[in-house]
Amino acid sequence: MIYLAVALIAVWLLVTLYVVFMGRRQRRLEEEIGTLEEMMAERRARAAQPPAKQTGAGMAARRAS
Amino acid sequence: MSTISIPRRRAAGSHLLQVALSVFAVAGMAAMMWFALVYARPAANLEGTEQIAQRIFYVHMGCTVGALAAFLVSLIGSAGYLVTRNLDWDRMTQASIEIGLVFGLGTIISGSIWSKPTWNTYWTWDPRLTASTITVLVYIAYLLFRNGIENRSTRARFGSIYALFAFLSIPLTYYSARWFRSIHPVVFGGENADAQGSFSIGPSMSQTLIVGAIAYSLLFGALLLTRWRQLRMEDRLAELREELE
Repeated sequence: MIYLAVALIAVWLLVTLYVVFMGRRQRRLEEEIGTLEEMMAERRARAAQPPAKQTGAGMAARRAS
Repeated sequence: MSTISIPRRRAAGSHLLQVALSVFAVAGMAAMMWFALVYARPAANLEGTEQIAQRIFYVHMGCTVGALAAFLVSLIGSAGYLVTRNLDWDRMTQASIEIGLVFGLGTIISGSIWSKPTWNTYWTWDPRLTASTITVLVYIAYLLFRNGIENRSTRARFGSIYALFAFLSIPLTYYSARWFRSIHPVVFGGENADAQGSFSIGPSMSQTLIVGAIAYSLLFGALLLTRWRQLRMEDRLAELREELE
């Protein structure tokens, strides 16, 4: 009986370990992709923004300095 | 080259297939355990510990079927990549080899435990056992070598060529108990006069074997699809990193 039990446990353990390995990797990948996509979206938004217009008061202040 | 961004509908479809396959795989494995432990009749010519340990046969064979399916898919994947240069084939090869290794190790470990009550030793350098070990080592080397290559397409090309040649070890393992003097029994298509611990397979045993083969194939399919999607995600991540640099 012991041999049967050990063999079954060993095989199930192998499969379970592989599934756990995949699960952990999946979580890490999803987090990383999320972070990178956010960073890219921020970068694109910054690039799409028009340069800030210079107001008359600002220009006068700069001239005075 | 591959296109990582797949249409949303296709991605949802593959996710649905993955969930369905996983559910079927769990149900199949549960059925297989019931067939192996309850339904299958004990081997008539064995007694005591040997007779109980004989039920390891179903898990042992299931793992073998899973490993065989995995290495066969890796062969298809590598040929597919070399013909089309589509990285999806390479991902399929890598995923199936990883899963094949899990099943291959399962075959060796369960066989080793079964051999103690049958052959009175956990290990012997029998041709079948040696060939199985060589096969597993060859495929472990595949993962190690390919991980050492930086360039994605070089890695895929090298992996595909390696996997094509690595598959040669499969027929060698299959025929090792027939071609060489082995104590490992031959289950299908032939007999081995030197075999020790063999038994005749009755109808309930054959049915259990079929259920086991289906269950392990479903498990392989579910794991393959999951890992394949994950490898796709890894490549997407690498692309994003490159874009950001």
